[in-house]
Amino acid sequence: MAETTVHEYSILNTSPVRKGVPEKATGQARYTADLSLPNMLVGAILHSPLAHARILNIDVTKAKNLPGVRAVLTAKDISHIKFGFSPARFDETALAIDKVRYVGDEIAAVAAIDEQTAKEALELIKVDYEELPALLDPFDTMAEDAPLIHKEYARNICHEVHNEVGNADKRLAEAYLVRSDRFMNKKTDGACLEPYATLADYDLSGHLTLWTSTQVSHYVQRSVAMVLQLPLDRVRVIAPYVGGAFGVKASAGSHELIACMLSMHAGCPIKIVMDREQAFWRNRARHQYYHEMTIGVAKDGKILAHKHLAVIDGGAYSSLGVITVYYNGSLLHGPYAIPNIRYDGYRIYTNKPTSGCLRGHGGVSNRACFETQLDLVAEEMKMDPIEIRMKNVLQSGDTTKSGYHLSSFNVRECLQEARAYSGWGKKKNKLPKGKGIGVATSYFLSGSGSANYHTDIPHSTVVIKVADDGSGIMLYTGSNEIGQGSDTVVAMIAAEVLGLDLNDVNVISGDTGLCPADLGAYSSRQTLMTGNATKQAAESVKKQLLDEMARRYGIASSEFELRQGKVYGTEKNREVLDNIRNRYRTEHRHFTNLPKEGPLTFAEVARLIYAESGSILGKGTYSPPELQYSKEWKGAVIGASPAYSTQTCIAEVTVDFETGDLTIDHLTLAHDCGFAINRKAVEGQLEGSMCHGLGEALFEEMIFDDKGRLMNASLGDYKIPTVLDVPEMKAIIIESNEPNGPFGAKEVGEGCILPVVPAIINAVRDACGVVIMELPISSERILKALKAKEASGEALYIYKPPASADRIIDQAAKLSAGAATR
Amino acid sequence: MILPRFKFIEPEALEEAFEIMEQNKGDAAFLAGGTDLLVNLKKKVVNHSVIISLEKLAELKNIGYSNEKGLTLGAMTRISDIEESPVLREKYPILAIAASKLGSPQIRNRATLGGNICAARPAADTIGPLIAYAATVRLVSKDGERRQPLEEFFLGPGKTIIKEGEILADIQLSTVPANTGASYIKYGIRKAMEIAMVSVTTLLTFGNASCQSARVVLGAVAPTFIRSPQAEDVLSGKIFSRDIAGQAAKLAAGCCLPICDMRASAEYRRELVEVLTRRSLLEAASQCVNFS
Amino acid sequence: MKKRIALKINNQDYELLVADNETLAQVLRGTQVNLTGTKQGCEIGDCGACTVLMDGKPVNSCLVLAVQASGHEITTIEGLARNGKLHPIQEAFIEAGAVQCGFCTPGMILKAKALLDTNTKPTRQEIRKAFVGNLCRCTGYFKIINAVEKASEMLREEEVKP
Repeated sequence: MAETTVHEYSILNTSPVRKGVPEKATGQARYTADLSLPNMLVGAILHSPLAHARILNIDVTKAKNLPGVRAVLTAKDISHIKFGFSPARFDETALAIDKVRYVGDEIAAVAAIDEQTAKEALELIKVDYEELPALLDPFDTMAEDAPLIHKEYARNICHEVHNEVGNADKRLAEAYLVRSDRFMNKKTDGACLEPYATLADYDLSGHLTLWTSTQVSHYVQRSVAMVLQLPLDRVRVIAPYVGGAFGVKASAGSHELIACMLSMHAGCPIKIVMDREQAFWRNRARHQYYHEMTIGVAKDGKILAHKHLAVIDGGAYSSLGVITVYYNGSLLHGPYAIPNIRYDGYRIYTNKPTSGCLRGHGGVSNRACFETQLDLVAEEMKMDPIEIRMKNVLQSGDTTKSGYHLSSFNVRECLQEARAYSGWGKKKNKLPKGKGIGVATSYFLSGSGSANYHTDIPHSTVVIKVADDGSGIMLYTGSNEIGQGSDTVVAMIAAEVLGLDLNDVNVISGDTGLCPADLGAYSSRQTLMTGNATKQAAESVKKQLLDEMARRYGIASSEFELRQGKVYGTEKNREVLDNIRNRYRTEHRHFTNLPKEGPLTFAEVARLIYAESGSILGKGTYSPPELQYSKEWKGAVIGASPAYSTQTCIAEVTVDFETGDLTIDHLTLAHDCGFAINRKAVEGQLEGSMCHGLGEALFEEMIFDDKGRLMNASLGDYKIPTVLDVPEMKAIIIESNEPNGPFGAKEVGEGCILPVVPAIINAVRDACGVVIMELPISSERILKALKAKEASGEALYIYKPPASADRIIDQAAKLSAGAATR
Repeated sequence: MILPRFKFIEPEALEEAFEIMEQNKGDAAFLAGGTDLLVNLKKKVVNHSVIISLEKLAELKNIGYSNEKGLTLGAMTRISDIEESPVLREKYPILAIAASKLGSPQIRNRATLGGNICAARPAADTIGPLIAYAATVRLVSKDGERRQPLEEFFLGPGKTIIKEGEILADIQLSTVPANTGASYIKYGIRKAMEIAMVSVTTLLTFGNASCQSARVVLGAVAPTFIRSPQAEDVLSGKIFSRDIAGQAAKLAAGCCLPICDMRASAEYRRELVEVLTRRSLLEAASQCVNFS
Repeated sequence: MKKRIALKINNQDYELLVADNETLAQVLRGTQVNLTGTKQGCEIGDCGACTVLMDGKPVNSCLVLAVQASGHEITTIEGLARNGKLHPIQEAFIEAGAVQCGFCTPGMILKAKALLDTNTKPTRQEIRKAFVGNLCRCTGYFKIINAVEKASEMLREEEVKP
């Protein structure tokens, strides 16, 4: 049974009250926009109204002269040092230098006494543009003679990847069944409830402090120091409470640099709070993908070969996009065994907001296409969709063709448990017309093997300092709590190792000035990496305590046990115990709740050691070990990870045949997280992902007009699920005891969104015989498909992407024919 | 997003309101619930330097019902009060239902009936049921007052027959005849927080086993709310049946002028009108008669 | 020209100077009142993060002018704890795991209060309907609904005990 694991942990695998949650529930939690400093000014940013234009002149005279305005910046006032995500592809500047590349590109900034004045000043800035052709359609953008968005990149190809392992074409020719399908999604947004906010304070001693809503304090610190040419130790980035990130806050943003620059110019703190519209323009979320996939299976349903051609619309800048092209290929190397794979992927620039990474980075759209296609194969072969998956899945100990070693991988259990809970056996092929059930399975990495810059530093370092009076510990971690519960995970690990109450573990995180470096919350790395570092730090503290006790008692430290705030084993030597206890009680005379009988407490032991040898500090680090990946598969290193999660989603839906209306009736999601450190937090990630996946399947899309302007830059028009759109859901925790993870834990948070979209597509097919290959699955598309199906008289109708998508894919196919894969 | 600078004035009597409006012709707008105007000001869709609040005008808050005279709803009646009113739920149920689908509880606690009407959106929630119930509006100005059937109140999206200096005071609905069934169906992309992609309101009054009168009102598929006289004609005077409902629905679909926008295509809206009109008619009829 | 308004916030009397075009959300979060528990997620009524109770009823404070709030009673998230103790709704949210990033939480909790003040035993579907207008991106709403159910149970138990 999936629900319980037999173990002897005190706190791990339970659901304690999370760190920071009471503060959030009482309004005490302060997010960046809630912060204020004396003498603070408000910053505001001017954005380009044009998708592609040369900046001829910016006249800021009137703005500068508006009473209450203290600083106005344009490109000529600021550093032109470029930043971004990967150093090899830094292509952003805080303000546009000579041209703007999308509607929303930042061109000027002001600092004023209040928001009203700042916004009025923006309106007084006069910009002369020379409009350039706006490249919005990848077909036009990739044309041979297309104008260049970035002059270095011919055909506006940001990056291309061509990979092969085995011989896909050959095996396809021999396969029992081959099918090719095309699929597309739309650009989506993170839609975090908290848009962006940042508060920069450059003081007269040359120290810069930046409070900012981020998921990567470390990377922001490095970017700020680099761009502003400040020594790293003079730049301190602090992440206060963060209202959601999901990937969009995984790199430094122009707004952060602008706030710092304004602060340096004006000599006082500057706060910039972006509104919802600006948040949409910044975007940095999921790319738009156009896929063509070909699959070949043997007569018994075993997958023989898979070919994947993809064009990825990246928007105006690179951001994480280079990684995206690789993930888009390698995240299909599991969870099934596929011996022959060919991948051709292009990421291209367009004059639209920049895509970066969003939950399930590089694994959502491709997985939707693959799982939908696999179901079509199953249907043709008259195999049950779960059966065909069971036939093909890898297992713990296997290696993918990209060379990824699946050290723990309970995909079978995910499939079985989801199947059992959802009642698949009683429902599949037995539901009334209009009702359907669908399944999908996926896998994801648990932290990237490489940092985003070439470095040998540990990916996570954690320092634990025992409070000098022993009453608890301070746990310093540069990791980022963004609502996913990472502070609680590390606290629980430390509490478990040291036998402490969770309330006695104080976590200080996300502050580059106080905490040792951690790469931050992205690629779902923190539970495994920061968790491992925490375990090591806690064990170091434990060792120091127990070694000291061993020295005093003359018995092996293995005879002691730290549990419930006590050091068991110390009660055996009464004389030493009484001596230590009396010292402690004397020192704490008049304090209440002093220890009386029984073994020594953690506090008494820690206090003693502090008195005699000084502060007790434990340090733990984690860097991914030498990871396995195939040298045969170009770029496989991107995607190599210490561990891989896997997950299965089953969706139950109802389709209204007359309107195409789609209701999701139930969602089940079983996710192998290795070991659930905090059970309710793991469930929360699964439930959140089911909702998020539902949104991407049914509603979410960024809609642009023919001038590249975003038409739905509001939470009314960009539709994330409301409470009435989300059905009852079941989150199932599967555990597989990951050897590379702390206490067997690996990621949860990203993998779990991957199977949701295709489970829904497959359920729709089951309900009414139409397969929608274009996201979002709108009721209009479903109705169109139903009518076409009826007209055709066939049992199945595939609603394909439009001709505009076809020509994009065809063009890429031409380009990639003959491209070298080695 | 911040509001532009404006002067906020809150008159305590209608005469005062008229005067302030006159003095600030062209610059001023009336503020009812604010859930529309304040959004438009923030988005810079409109710009007004003077905002005149209607909150303190008692003349706009008359609410009354009698079996003889019917219902009077002051323009400043909150949508949430309409949703929760026992009288409305019993006597004018589809108005209460439509109110319950408007926005969210937070919006409904501020939005007003008058505001919903005067914003004149083709997708507004209360207008379909109001027209179905043959509502009339009373407009007041310093020169007096006039009444107008709500059906003739709209000129286009955001445009009404309200003259400069006039304020919508209240809405009147006459008593609903016995044996009347009514239905309001709103379709949107999500199941909440939606501006209707299509809305259909139907009201059928039966007598002597046949449908005596029918009102079919379509929203979000033309520049204003429209009735479908063709659909109504095919229903009136006939014994109701699924067939007739189907015919009426086809006719309703034929008479609408939907647009294509980022929510849906015109064609899909037309298809929805047919399906939802048929369903709405069946729902309305089932409240009064059995049919085949 | 600022106007003087008088209102109650969390049972405390306030006299404030506000501009005509300031919203209640801005004033609550501003320097005179300094209650930053009320959040702004969209400023145009789409998300509900700014939800406060106005005379006990939930409203989007981003769409109420501060001058319109004069004479009314406002409850923000900071006003829920009783004598330094968490309100049962807050406890329920915390225990149920209904809080992740927390940005929607103040609005959610106040919405729960408004619901449970008028409906002491709501069904899950009634809870869902009431929570329209409050968006959440993290939780999928599931544990929020659980929390409200739990809170209603806790409040009913309180009623029974003397």
